[in-house]
Amino acid sequence: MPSKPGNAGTPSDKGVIPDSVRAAACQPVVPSRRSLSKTKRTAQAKVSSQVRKTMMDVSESALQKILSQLRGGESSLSWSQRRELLQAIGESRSAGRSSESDLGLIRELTADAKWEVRRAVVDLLPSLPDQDFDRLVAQLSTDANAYVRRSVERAVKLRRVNQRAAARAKRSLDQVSEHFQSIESKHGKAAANKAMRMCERYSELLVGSIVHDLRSILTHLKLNCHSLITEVSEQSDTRAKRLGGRVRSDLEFLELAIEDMRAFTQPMPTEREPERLAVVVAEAVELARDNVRKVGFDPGPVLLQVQVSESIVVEIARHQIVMALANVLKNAMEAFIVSSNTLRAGRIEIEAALSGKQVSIVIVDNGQGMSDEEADTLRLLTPGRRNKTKKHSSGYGLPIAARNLAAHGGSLTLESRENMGTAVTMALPLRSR
Amino acid sequence: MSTIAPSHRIRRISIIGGFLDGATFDLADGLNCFIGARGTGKSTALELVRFALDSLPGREHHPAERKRIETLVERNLAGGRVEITIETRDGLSYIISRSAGEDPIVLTADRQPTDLTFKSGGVFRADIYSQNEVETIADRTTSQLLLIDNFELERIAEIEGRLDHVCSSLKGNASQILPLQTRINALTEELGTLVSVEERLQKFAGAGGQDSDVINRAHALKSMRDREQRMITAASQGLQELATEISKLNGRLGQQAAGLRDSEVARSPNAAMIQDVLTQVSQCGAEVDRLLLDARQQIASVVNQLANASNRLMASHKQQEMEFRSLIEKHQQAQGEAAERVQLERRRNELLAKSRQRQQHLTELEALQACRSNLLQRLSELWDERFGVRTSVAQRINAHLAPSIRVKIYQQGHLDRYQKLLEDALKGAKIKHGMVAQKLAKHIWPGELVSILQRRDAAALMEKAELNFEQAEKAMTALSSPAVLFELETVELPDLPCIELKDGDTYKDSQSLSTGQKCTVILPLLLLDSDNPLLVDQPEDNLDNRFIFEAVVDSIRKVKTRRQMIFVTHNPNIPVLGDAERVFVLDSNGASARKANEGSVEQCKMDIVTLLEGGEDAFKARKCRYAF
Repeated sequence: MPSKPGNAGTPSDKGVIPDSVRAAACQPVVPSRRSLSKTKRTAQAKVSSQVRKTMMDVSESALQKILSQLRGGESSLSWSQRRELLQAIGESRSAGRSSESDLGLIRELTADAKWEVRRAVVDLLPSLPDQDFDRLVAQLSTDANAYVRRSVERAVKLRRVNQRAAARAKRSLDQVSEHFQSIESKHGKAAANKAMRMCERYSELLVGSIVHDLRSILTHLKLNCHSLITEVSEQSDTRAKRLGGRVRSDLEFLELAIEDMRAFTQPMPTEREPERLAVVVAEAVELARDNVRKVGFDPGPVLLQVQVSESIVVEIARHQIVMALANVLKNAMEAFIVSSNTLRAGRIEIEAALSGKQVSIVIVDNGQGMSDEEADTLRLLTPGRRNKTKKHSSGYGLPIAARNLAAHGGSLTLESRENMGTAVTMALPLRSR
Repeated sequence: MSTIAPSHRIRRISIIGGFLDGATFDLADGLNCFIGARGTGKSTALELVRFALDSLPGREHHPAERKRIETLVERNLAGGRVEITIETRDGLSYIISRSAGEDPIVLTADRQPTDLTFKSGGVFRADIYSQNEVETIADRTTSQLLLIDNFELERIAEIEGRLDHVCSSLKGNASQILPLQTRINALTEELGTLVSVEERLQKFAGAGGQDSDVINRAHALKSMRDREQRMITAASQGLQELATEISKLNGRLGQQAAGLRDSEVARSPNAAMIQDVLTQVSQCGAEVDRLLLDARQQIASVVNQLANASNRLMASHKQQEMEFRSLIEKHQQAQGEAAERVQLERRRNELLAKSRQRQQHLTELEALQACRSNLLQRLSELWDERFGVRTSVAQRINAHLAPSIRVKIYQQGHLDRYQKLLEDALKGAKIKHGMVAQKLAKHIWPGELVSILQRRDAAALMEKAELNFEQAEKAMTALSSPAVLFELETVELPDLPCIELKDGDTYKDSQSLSTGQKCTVILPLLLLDSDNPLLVDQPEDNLDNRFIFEAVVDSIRKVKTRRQMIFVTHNPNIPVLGDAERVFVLDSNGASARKANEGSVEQCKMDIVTLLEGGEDAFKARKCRYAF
């Protein structure tokens, strides 16, 4: 496990601002602009994956075999097949799956003799971690083929733009932190908290009203689109039907994203009731499975092992904590994605342990995990879709979980290692203050 | 004569008629220099060699230069001719003779005619550069590519031969696919009505009522009879069409042979030979006609058999038809519907036949498309192969000339043709077609563009080529015609050479150099090792004496033992320090020019001093001033 655990929700780690607040504070600026463009991009990814028929087998074992054949110089794949292979890998990566073998294949094919193959490698650059990105860019930027070189230049430019946007977002967060601290030192902690609460409320109101407007527009749009699709599909060819299908699934995704935004800005209920944690967890498991089904996966292959003592009782706003747990569990299940509609077999362990006046719930999966860099971004808990996020994820899951926990005086930490798995620890006080 | 490595050589230049009438130059191995005052016919001599060897600049790329040389040759040859004696790498000697306005004739050393041509450069080739041509190479990437190809001419020509073959196969393939697609589309549209016809028939069949089963079966049988009749008619039609096609060919060869007969040629010295050829053609024609007749007879006999079968079928159909009528008449309601029902059945049969035809076309189309995708892969592989040869040439050049000169080649670096194609296709799409074409050409290679267009992925156009929504949509529509797609699939993006000169610490592209630097970067490439004789008109133009002394003279001395060189020059360093094997001195009286002197540098010393150094006095005065 990496040595730098993120510690969300506890002010000591990243300044004084609870993460939910950090997220809320920057939310009107960052996600509204960013998630829109991201939505567009995934819609495109979906389009091409629907249209392109991929015959290539990209299961881990198949990739390993191809890789060892390529390395041994005994591959029988023609160059057009090597290109198709890369396209298939691209699709599976955009479906959220990545492995050592596909990184290995991408590295190997960067030196391919056929330029069309190298050009296909460039298309995969955006999905690579920084280290590989830099290395392959260095290798490809002097390519003899003009198209390969130009597309590398463009990939570098785009990555720089993205990095700058991320840096800007971080700067904004830091500024808020600074303001908070300066208020605290001038007027005391209580005033600072009050000011923060005011900002938070204001941003919730603002985003809430935006979400409200969006939802009413979406309701009409959905109705009209569906009538239009039915009308068109009745009398036309398969192309119109296919396009209709795309519009439908894009709309569904938009609705999902808006729902998440709404959840993120809902005012937190203040009533707390004693609840048995085991029951809460069981409910969350069901909800997570439902949500996974909704985005097109069968949760069957993933085994969930729950070890929560029946005797633990917590004072909570039940729905908020169920949602927090379900979001983390859904992420854990999505760590086993192998293609745009299948999960591989895997195991998720949920354990709760009492420590003093709080309970810590640990959710560990042995899925694909993520690089340090990805985990760092995730630990910022800024809502919104990121470069390599899964197709059906709005990027709100973890921030909502952290926000709900923070409202209970709890916190969320995350540790992950690529190809090993991810562990999320949720600390929750037994009694509300 | 010294023995040099096997290479092509020019042995003699003779000019008969015109400005240089009677001049004969016997060239040596190694370095030959033509000197003389302005207007004494030095450049003319060189251009005449170029003319005789049929290696004028290409009509396609450099029409102006070609025209200039043609005019110069015409004026200075004045109806005369030029004769070049050459010796090939394999030690064979030929004489090439060419008169103004004619094609070159290749004779053996004892002046017997041959059927050789030197156009392909396979047998013999010389590298010839007119005055100022060297610097223009620095400006023109097409010339640079030719220069690079020149080092591996045979391999490049061989690959290009295969490329031509693949390209013409692709053209043929496209010309088959296009009409097939049109036919399939028309059939598909027509077949759209099949569903409603079948629905209506179903309604009749499903109506129920008394004896509906019997009536349905009777209708089904009637429909079957119609289909049987159609089948025989279609088969017979196909045979008769073929017979008509065949009869069109009848007598064609014989007529052609007759048309070729020419009473004047019949009296020529070669009449017997020509007569032979024509007789062969007419005999072949008669034989072909006989075979065609055979085929027609066979077809006719099958058509007859079909007619008999059709008659027999008709007879049994008549019987069955009577039964059908009597059955229908028994059922009142069925009788009312029968006419419409029969009509519909006929229509359905017609459509089913078309559906089978469409299915067959689809199979054909699939085969053609599979063949096309193979050819396209082959095309790409051949382009790669040619690029590989060019890269290896560049590496060889770099090994010789590094670090002062660097040659790079970018595959598919030349977008002009592709961009032009896009621009033309986008005209009338009501977008800024120039700008959109430029963006598309820059970011999306043709194969990728075709696949984006085929899956109508306007979003990919927006993302990859940075177009806005409107541009992407309109470009999608404008580019999606089958003809444009075929062109896009095969459009060639030529490799782009980049020749750079080291200037201080940086390399500068040849196009951005000064005139002098342009010659500095290109001339060393011309002076590299090759089998071909090198002819340059005034290589010293635009160069400073220091460079000539340090680089040019040095290269000449190194290479001349392996390669014959023929220079027209005004610079004394080249013949004297290059230690010319032979110097030709030309002189003119305005109306005609002549060879005034020839021989070694020693033998022509006084001419060199007078013509190139400005005379003995000038030379001595300079020496005195420099006080060496």
